[in-house]
Amino acid sequence: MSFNKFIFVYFVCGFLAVNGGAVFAQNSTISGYVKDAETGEVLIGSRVYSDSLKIGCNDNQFGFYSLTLPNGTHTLVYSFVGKEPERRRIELKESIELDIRLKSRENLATIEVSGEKKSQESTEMGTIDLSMSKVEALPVLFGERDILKVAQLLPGIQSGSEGSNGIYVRGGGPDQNLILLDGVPIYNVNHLFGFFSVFNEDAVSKVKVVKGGFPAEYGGRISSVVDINMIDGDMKKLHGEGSIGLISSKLMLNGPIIKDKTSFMISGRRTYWDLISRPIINQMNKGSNFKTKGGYFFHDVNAKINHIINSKNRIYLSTYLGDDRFFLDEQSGLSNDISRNGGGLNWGNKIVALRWNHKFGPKLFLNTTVTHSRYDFETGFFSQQGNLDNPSSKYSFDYSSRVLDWGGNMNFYYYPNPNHQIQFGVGETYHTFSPGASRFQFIEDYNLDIDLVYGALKTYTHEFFAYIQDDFKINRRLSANLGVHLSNFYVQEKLYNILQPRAAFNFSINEKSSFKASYSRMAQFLHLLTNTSFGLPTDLWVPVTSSVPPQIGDQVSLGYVHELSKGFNLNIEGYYKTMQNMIVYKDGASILDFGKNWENLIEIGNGNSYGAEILFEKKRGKTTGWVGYTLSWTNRQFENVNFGEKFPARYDRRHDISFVMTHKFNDRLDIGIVWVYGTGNAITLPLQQYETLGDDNFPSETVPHVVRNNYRVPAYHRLDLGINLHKEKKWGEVVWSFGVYNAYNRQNPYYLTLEDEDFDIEDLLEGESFSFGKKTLKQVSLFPIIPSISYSFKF
Amino acid sequence: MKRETIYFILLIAFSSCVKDLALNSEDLNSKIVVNSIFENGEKIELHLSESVSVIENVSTPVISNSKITISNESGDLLGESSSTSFYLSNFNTEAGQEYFLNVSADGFESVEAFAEIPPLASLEGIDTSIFQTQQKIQFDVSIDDNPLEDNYYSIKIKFLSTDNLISTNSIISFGQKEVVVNGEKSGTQFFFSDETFNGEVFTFSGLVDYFEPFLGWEYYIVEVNSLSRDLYNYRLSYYNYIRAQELPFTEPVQIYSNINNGIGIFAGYNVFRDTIWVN
Repeated sequence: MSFNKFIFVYFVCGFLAVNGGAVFAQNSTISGYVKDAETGEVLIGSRVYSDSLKIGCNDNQFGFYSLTLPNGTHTLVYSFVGKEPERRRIELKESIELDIRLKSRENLATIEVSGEKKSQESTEMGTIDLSMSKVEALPVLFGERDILKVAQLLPGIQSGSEGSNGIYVRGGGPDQNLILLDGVPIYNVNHLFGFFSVFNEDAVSKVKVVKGGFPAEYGGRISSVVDINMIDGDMKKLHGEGSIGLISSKLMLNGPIIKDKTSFMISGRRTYWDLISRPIINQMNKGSNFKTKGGYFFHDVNAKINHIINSKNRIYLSTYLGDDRFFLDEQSGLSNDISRNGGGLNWGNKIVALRWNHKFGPKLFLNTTVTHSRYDFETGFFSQQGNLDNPSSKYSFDYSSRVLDWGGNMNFYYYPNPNHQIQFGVGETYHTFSPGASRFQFIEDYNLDIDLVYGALKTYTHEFFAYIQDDFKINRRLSANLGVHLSNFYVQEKLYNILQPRAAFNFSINEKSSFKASYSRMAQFLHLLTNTSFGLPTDLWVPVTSSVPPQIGDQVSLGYVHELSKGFNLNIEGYYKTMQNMIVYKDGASILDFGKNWENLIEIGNGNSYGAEILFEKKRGKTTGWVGYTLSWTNRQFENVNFGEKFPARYDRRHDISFVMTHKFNDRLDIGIVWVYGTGNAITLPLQQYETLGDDNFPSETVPHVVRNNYRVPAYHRLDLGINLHKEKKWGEVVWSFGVYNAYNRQNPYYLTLEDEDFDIEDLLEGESFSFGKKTLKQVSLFPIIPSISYSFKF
Repeated sequence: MKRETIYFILLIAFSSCVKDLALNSEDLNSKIVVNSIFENGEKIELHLSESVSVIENVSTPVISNSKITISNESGDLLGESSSTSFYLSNFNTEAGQEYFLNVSADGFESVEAFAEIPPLASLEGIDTSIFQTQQKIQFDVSIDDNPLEDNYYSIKIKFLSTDNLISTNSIISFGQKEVVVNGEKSGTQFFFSDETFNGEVFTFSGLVDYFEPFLGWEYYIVEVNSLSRDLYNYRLSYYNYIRAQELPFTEPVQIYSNINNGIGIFAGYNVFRDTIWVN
């Protein structure tokens, strides 16, 4: 039997089995939402459990739960981390709807019952739920809290260069992460050249990171899923929070529009370096023929409205708008003889998502989403001479890239009985790619002499998917999540069909520990074409085409989970991943290679990654945190790069360690400590030079001996410290946060460069030898010890 | 004490973000560099030098304490030399013959290489068309590709002027008739493989500058080179390197090497030359 037939037969038989069981047994279903008693918001990830029957369920990502039980009397425990568990005695004669509201715990430290989904009971592998409380307590660069920087502290997830938000998951590239904000993919998650992410922590309620063992519901990227949910907004009363920091300030408001019916959330953030520097620049320009304007800022807005139409229907409208802008304009000279030079760099994402939740009955739930996403990148420079309005000569260069998506999907959640949670759905996205259009203009003596546009062709594509998955219990000890995800991609009259099987198993050794195993195939129809020679955000999102095939990732992983006493958890996972059809620029290719389509500038090849991850975590108590360790190898191989030999990926990191700890002394004082260590990146650094043969077969020129990613930069390590002082006010709470980034002032490598050796004239006069033209290898670091302070408030 | 503490903190905070890094001694170890590209029917010329660290500003020294041996596929010694940095074989090369090179020198890891001269390109013919007004001449070079081999070609067009100087013309534009050729115009040559037309007759069209005959005996020389795969990769990567020097933001270029444990090139080619008289 072929694999496809096996999948079909499995799901048909499974469907009949689970429904047949439901028809003949005397069962009824209890369903509803678990909500926060204070705000009325749904609590995603809460648990419903029957102690006597030893069965239960978790709610879905919209807070909906459904549990089918034999008719009779049951005691159900509803729990959620940080909330007081609630026990309900229920007389079940027929299916009922029951919304539960959980109150906050009075004393978190003394209560040992966890409301979190238990990892040892779940088939999920390589999956971590990041609560915002983890993010809030940690020390951060410039005092700006960032969920992606916290994600980088988890084993298997590596940061890129110093301070950047690029995440590299199990050897994958930054393009291989599906980063979803309320279900909409975000293409560029960076503000300020990558030092901050676009996710404003105030507007985020929950983050789920999946590194392996992907459920069939996810597709479109091969290395990870970062699923971020925005806050829905308090249904009871108006709340707000904000902060004033060294770099930016932000404000978030949320509350009811119609009490218990409609709520909103709006959050805004802006940096103000440009505003602070403007008077200084103006002062410098005073009385000078040389005038400069310039600056950089980013701003973003998150907003969401959700409305409960009735007990069966609910809608959400959410949006994110963000922009980064850098500009420089310099003028010198007088009246009709002015020389003017300038340039700029802008990029930003705009997304909108409209969601409709519909409950067909106690066992079937539907989420329908319509999405729009747009990512723009523009850069350019110009130079002109003469009169400002009518320059005698002018040249300009502009470069732009855009991805525009319209999409929709329907996801069904079906709970036939406690042993099966079935999810299935379909979706379609219409992409318009405009990668790398360049425009060059040259004007002389008021005439347009040259106006050339390259690479302005758009590519239109359709991406369709359908999936089905069943998370079910095989017996008391063994459970599985089997599924299949089918992707179709239509581009340039070529249709790609890729069937992606997914399987995950959990074998419970006892109540506290389990073994896990998973296999998943993922397909990706986008590539990120990255220039390695400089760090500006000129990476191009390009689609699969008729000649550039989709990326395919296959991953197997094995794991062991153990819940220890006193809130400690141990999670060990090993993985092996292969990645097919990755792209890189060819040797010698340049993004400024005018006249060449990007498809002619790339090589297509493969990669692999394997390793082991250990996460030792303390989840409860006054002291929480984790120690993470990753041992990994990551390689790339391209037929025409490095002579076809395998070479280490730039972010191949043999050892990666993170130590994260927060301690709450009392309600007024808590501290955070982070220490990270990572093996140095592999970079291409010619270490030898040699004579080569020229055109006429005579030794001609000394050239560098280049070997791809041959040199390891020094290891990266850093200690961050933070302290938060909380003060209750009549209207709410204020927090003063003090932090030190890179507390022991480690000079971590940002980039290496070969420069002519410096010499001291006095040393020469004293007779010390010096060889002119000799070079030294220099390491440039970015961030020394950086103190930070921020003031935040909540009401 | 308070003041010292403040000074200390400021010193750390604003200390230089640039520092020198020392290279490991193994990174600085020199390698044997072999440079030898030879033509069918000619002697093998081989030049030995050593690589030097990129931090040194010295010319690459030759290696004179070497032992060089060249043997055939049967292991028979064809030629050897000691204590020289320049070797000229006492035999002439032959197409189809395999040559195995071994070079050892004190203080260096021994290196090995292998080379084979490909057979001559099978030419169907060369046609010319002169475009007087544009002062251009087009050469249509038809080659019958051998289906049983992976073939690599380069085409070069030279012009012999009236003052008896040979200059190599740049191929200004190029095109192909009937079949698509995936190639690269690099410097004065056009490089291509038979990947897209294996076993077919294909025609390469190259346009070069045309000069009116002055004394009536000017001529062009068309060179059709059959390159070994190693030489093809070497030439392309070299020209890629030269080209990359002229563009900003380029990816690093590795110049191809087929020298095991060392650097350089040891490869052969076969050339068909045709003289085209213009009068």
